[in-house]
Amino acid sequence: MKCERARRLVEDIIFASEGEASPRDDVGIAPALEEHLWSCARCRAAMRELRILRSQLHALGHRRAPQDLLPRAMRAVRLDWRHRSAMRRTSVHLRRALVAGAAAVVIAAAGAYLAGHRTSNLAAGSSVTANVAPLVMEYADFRSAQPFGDRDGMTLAATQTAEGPRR
Amino acid sequence: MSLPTRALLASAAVALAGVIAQGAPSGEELLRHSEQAERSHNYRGLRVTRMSLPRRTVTAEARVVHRRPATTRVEYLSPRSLAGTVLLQMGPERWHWSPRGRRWRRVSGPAEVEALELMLRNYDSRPVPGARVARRDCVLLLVNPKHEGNPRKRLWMDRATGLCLRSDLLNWKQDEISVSVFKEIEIDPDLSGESQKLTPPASAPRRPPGTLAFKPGYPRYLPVGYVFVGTDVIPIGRYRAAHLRYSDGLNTISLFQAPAAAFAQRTPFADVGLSFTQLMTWRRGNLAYAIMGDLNPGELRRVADSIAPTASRQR
Repeated sequence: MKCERARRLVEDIIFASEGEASPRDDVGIAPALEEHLWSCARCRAAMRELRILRSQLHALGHRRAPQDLLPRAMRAVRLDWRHRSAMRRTSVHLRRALVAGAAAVVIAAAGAYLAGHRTSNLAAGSSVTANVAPLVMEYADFRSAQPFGDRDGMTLAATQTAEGPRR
Repeated sequence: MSLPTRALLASAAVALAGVIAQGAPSGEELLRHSEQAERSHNYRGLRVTRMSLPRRTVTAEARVVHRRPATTRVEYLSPRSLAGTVLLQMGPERWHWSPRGRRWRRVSGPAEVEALELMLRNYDSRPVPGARVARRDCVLLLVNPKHEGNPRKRLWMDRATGLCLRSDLLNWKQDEISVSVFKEIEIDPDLSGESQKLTPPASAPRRPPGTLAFKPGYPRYLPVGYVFVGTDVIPIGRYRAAHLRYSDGLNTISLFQAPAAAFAQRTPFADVGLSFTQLMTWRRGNLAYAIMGDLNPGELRRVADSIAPTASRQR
C-alpha cells in the first residue's frame, strides 16, 4: 500500500462519523493498512496527530454538538490535510504551527459549545485501540461459530466496534 | 354441579395436564431437534439483526441461503459498511468475502468439540408458548445459564420443522444485546439456481501457519463450565499473536498474547465494556495480553490474573 492511499484511509477512519462506512470495518483493507503503518513512520506520525486532535475533541465532553458544528470544523481540518502537498513545501515549524492552529480553532469552537457538558465516563466503552480491532474480529468469528451463534450480530458488532463509538 | 363431580373434573384436568406436559418436548429435545433440522432442511430468507452497541443501535439485513446438511451463505445488504460482505460456511470451513478487498479469506470455524453437549451441560432451557415469526408458529425456548454471570438466549423454534427463526441474545448483565429474526423465509425451496453461490471459493489462501516468537501462558483458573477448545496463531500487523479459545457451549472466552508492541498501548490495565463482550488489555514484561468474553468482569479478571508467567524468548 502506498502512502497516499494509506493517508486517505487514515483520514476516513479518523473522521468517519456514526453510521458512515470506515475502512477499519473492512477486514480486506485493515490488515494491509496496518502493515503499512507499521513500516511507515511518516504515516504513523500523521495518524498520531489526527488522533490527538480527535481525542482532544472527545475529552471536551460526550454530548453531541449541533449537526453542523463538528462536521464544519472537521472539514476545515480535512482541507488542511488534503493540501498537505502544499504544506510539504513549507518548513517543518510552519507546518506544525498550521496544524496546531487548525487544532486550536476546532477545539475552541467545539469547546465553546460543549462547555458545561463534560461527562466523567470517558473510559467506559470509549476506547478500543486501533490495533485491538483484529482481535475483536477474531473473537466475533469464534463466538459466532457456537451453536445457535449470533452470526449476524457478532459480524455487525465486530465491524462497527473497531473504534468504539464514533462521534 | 355437585362437589364430588367438581373434584372429579378437577383431578381429571390435573391428570390431563400432566399427560400433556409429559408428551411435550423438553427444552433439550427442542435444541437437539433444531440442530437436526438444520441438517435436514433447505431454506432461504431475509434476516434482520438489531445490535445494541455502546450508546447506539445498528441494524443489518442479510439474505440467507441454507442447503442441507451444512452449507450456509449469508450476504449482507445493509448497513452500508457491511453491504456486499458474504459469509459462507460449509461444515467446519468458513470464508468471508470482503467487497472492498475483493477477496475471500478463511475465518475460524466451529470448535472441534461437541458444542451442543457442552451447552446442554451449562445451560437450562425451558419451552414456553411462542409467537409467530415470519408468519409461522413457533415455540419460544428460554436458555438460561446454570452458572450466574453468563449470557442468556431466547430462541424461537418453528413448530413444524424445528428451525430457529429468531434468536435474542442477552449479555451477562441481562441487557438485550441483539435480536436476529427472519422477516421472511421459504422452507425447502428449490435451490438449484443458487448452486453457484453455494460452492467454496476457488482461491482463499489459508492463513500461513505462524510460529510464535514467545511461549504463551495458560490461565490456571477458568470459570465453572468453560473448557479449552483450541488455539490459533493470528497475524497482527507484523506480529503474530496466540489466540487461546475457551467455551461453555454458548459463550466464549478469547485470550490473546503477542509481543508488547502489537496491541497493548495501555498499561497496566485497560477494561472496556462493549455490550457484547468485556475487553481487558494489559502488558506484562515483553508481552501484551487481551482477554475478551461476555461474562462478569470479575471472573474475566480472575482468569487474567491466573495466567502463568512464561519465560519469553521473543525478539
